[in-house]
Amino acid sequence: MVDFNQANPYENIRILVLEDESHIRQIIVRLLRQIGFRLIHEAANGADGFKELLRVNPQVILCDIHMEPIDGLNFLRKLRSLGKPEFTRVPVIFLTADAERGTVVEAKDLRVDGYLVKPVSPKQLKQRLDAVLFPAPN
Amino acid sequence: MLTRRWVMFCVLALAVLCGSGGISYWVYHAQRDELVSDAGHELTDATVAFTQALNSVFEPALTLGGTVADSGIRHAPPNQWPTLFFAIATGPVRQFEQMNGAFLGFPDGRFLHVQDLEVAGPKRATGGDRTSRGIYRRIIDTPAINPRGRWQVYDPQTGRAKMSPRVTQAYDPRTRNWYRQVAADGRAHWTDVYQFASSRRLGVTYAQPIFNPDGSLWAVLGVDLSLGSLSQTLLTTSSALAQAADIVFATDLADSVLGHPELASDTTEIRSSTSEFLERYRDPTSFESLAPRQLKEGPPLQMVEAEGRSYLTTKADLDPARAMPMQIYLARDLEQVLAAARAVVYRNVLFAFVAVVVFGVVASYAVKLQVEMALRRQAEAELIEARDIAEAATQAKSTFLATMSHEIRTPMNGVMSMAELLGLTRLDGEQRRMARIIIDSATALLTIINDILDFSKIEAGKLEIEAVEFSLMSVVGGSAELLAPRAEAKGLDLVVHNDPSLIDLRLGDPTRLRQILLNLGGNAVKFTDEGRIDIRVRRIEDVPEATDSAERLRFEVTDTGIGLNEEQRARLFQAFVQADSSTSRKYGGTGLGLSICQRLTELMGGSIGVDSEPGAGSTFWFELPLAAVGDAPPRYPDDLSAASVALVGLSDRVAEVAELYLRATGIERIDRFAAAGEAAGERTLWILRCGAGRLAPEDLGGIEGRIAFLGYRGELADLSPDLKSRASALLTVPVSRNGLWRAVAIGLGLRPAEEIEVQQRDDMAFAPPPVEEARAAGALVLVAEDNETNQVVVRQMLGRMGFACEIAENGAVALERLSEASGYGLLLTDVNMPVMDGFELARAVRAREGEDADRLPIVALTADALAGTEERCAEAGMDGYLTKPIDSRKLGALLAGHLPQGLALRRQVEQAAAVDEEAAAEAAPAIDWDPEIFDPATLTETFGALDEEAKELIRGASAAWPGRIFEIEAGLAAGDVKRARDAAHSLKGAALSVGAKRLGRIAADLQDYLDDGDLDMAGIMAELLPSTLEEFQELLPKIMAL
Repeated sequence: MVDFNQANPYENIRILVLEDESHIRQIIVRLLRQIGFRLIHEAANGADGFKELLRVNPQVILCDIHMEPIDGLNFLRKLRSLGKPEFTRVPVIFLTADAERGTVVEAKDLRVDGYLVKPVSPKQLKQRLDAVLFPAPN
Repeated sequence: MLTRRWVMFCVLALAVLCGSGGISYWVYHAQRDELVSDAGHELTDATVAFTQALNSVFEPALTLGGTVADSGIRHAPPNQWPTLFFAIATGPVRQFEQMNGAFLGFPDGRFLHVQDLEVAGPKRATGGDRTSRGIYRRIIDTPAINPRGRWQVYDPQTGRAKMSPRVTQAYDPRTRNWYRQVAADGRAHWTDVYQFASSRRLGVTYAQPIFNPDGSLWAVLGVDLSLGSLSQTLLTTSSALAQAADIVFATDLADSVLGHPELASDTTEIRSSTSEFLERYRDPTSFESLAPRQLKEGPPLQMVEAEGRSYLTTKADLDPARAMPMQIYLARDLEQVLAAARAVVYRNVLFAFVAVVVFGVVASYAVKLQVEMALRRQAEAELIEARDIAEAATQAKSTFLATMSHEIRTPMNGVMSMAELLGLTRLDGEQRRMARIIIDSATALLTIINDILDFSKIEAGKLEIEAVEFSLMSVVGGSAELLAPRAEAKGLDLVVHNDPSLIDLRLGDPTRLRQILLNLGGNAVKFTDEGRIDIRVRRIEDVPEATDSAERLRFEVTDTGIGLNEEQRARLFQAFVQADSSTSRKYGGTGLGLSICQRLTELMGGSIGVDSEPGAGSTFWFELPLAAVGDAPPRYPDDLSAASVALVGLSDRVAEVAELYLRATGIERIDRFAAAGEAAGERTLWILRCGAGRLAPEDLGGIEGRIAFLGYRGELADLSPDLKSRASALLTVPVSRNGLWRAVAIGLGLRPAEEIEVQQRDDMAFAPPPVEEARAAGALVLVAEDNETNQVVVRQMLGRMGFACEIAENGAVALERLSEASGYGLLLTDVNMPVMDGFELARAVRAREGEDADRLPIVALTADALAGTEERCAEAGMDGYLTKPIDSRKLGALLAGHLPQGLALRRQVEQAAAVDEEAAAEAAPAIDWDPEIFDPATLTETFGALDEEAKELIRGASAAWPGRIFEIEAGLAAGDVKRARDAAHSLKGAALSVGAKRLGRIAADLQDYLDDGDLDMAGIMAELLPSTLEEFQELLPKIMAL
């Protein structure tokens, strides 16, 4: 799907960011712009995120865990149960300050595609996104 | 693993065996003493039985003695003694086998003797004087005068005695041992064993005195007892006691053997040399010698070692008062005793072994069973998991197929229509090729979608086969014509060989026949890079029932392509399978086509197959029962036999088929020329193969007569005007029978020459007449269509074909127009419209028409090519239907059929007026927003560029969207699902057509959720619409500025 002749492979990728702290959200969005994303959609919690998901049909999702009223884990659970291939297959990366073992295990059981612990460097974020967006052959 | 288990099992069995053996052996030793002791008791018990048995041997003698003594015989006068004695003794002597005789010896020498010489058994038969058998009596009553005495023979039958001539020696009892012993001490005696003089039998004599009342000796009574019966008794008793003893024998007090079981059976030997025989028992090493000696001392039960064996031995003395004084010896061979014990041990060992084996087998089976059960449980679990996965996959697949085919059809609508329109504009060769590629690709894509739908229908058993009349020639020829562009593109020859002797009208399902032919033909073209595709139809001669109405026809599609090996042939008709996986990469396709063909032929009562070799091409064939209608093969209505035809530059196969077709209608004079340069002379018709570089105007120099060019459509289109002007007819590849015949008719002047220009596709690039002009001619098309894009597409398409139209956005509006104005020659109506749908519209129109009015042709436009659509259309009074995306050829055919009055009104378009297509291709503008909100590519693909018309479409369409969203919200709020759904459907169509992808997708999802009855999700989707529309509207100024 990716045209590597194109200067910016992230240009046409729709990414959805779920983060309740607005300044952190701004930082993440800025990081994503640096990487090359143009089509960035934002939501402040799982409930809004869910609607935005249905609306924009993102190709990748960055998601905080501790949010109200619907947290990241429940958001992911709901997403995977939607029964539409485009939603059950969209990669989701958790971006959270929570490194508790129980949370990580729960996230893993939900088959999350990535788990990054804040604070995250631009390089880490890019590596993780590349891994889910442009998986190497095999 | 199995081996190891068996080894373990063997070791275990061995261990158990050894163990049980050891235990048994220990038991055996522990029991040995007890066994010996038991055997001793048994022996002792047996002696009682033997004693009693032997007593009974001797008892008669003692009893007789008592009887004679008590009889008072001695008181009788002496002359009565013989009578009285014989009366007493004859009975016992006869009765008791062992009693050989009884006698009385008197002190004065008198002697009375009763003797049994009767044959009463084998013993006696072998000995004695044959003439002297019977009971003999001897009377010596006057010893002084007749010491020999006299003999009588007693006849037991008559009870009388008569004199016997028998003469024996003189006998004096007083000289005899038995008498002397008794006389000496006045006591009863048993003599030693001796042989009886009379019978030579071995025996003893019992003698007892009988005294006078004064105490003097009256007489000595003697009884001879044969010892043969002694041995016989031992033998009998021994067997009666079931071998309680292994050896039994009796001895007298001097240890001489008197009775032995062996003696009972060996009387001959005994008779001849008894003493010698008895010697054997005198051998000091024999058991019979050793036992008496050893048992003289010590306990009555002893172990006697003799001849290498051990005998448990006991003895018993007979009571002298009741029998002859003697001893009985009983012995058991210790070996025999212990053998029994060993047998028990062996039995135990055997039992243990059997038990171990049985246990082992059972155990190993149990283990095996356990293992198998475990494996099976595991396999079951895997199967269940696999099933769950498969079911989930199937569910996902059907959902996917359902949504995908629908989702793809919508954008395909635009692609196909626009590509068709593009093809109608004036294009040069290269542009035409590109347009064709677009159309071919889109067609291929639609084919795949239709395949999938077909396959699903067949799988679900929902596909029904028609039986209608159809023309074989037009179905086969038409299919071939559809294949022609692709065959042309690949430079392949395409030949249709339709047996001219076949009756053309048939009863069957032309749609499905065409589908199979197109599929097989399409494959043939796809897999052939050079050479020829040969489609052949013929009768199967050797089917007996073919003489009935349902004649079987064989259709063959032969190619010169890559061919198939055996394995590939075997897998070919399976669903989703292609010859090999690399094939799908190289050639594409769903792999469903052949599977569908197979199922279709089966549904039609036929069969399908393939003959092929790798590299040598393939022949795909199918055979169908297709009943003929009528009884004659077609001929051209006019007589063409006068014609002479020349075939120039045709390949052998094409020329062969053409010649066949010509001859079928009576044309005899046919010549073939390899190239135009060689051809000269006059003919009724010259048929020349045209094509790139094949023909030049100067080649036609030597030719006189009418000319028809044969070529693919593209080749015909590319003919230079010089050449084209010479043609009286154009024939397309594959050469068809009717085309050929018509061309000959033109050559003969029976028909006017074709208007060559009209035959071209690009001559359909007309402009429509003004609406009022069309209305006046009754040639105005009314289009009922709610979707804006489709409105544009239909209007453009009709316009290009030279027809004017009016658009009504729903059925109600259309009906209104029809009642308000006249001049409509055709109604094209979408099926699915708000307010009034196509079916309602058609019914209303028909109802309004009544019976007398002119019937307005109505043709449906439907995006849902579902089963039953045709029936529903017919029911509603429609004349046909077209599926979207609309195929311009079908639309053209339809217009020509239903609206012939419009043909004359078409306006020719100047070449210069053609759209600048190249500029349009470059038109997709650069954007700096999310293409999901608005993608201009959608419309530039349709319109060539985002021109004012396109912008107007966007503006107009988007202006209606807030209303649609309001409808959706209102419908949902009021619980009116249909209202919401219709609005969503409309919004989806409009938004996607214009390029508002996100809005369109949300509307599509909303519609899906409504269809699924998921109102919660539908509500959520509806909430998303306003913000998404807003997003679009914000962008609208930018879009208009492009």
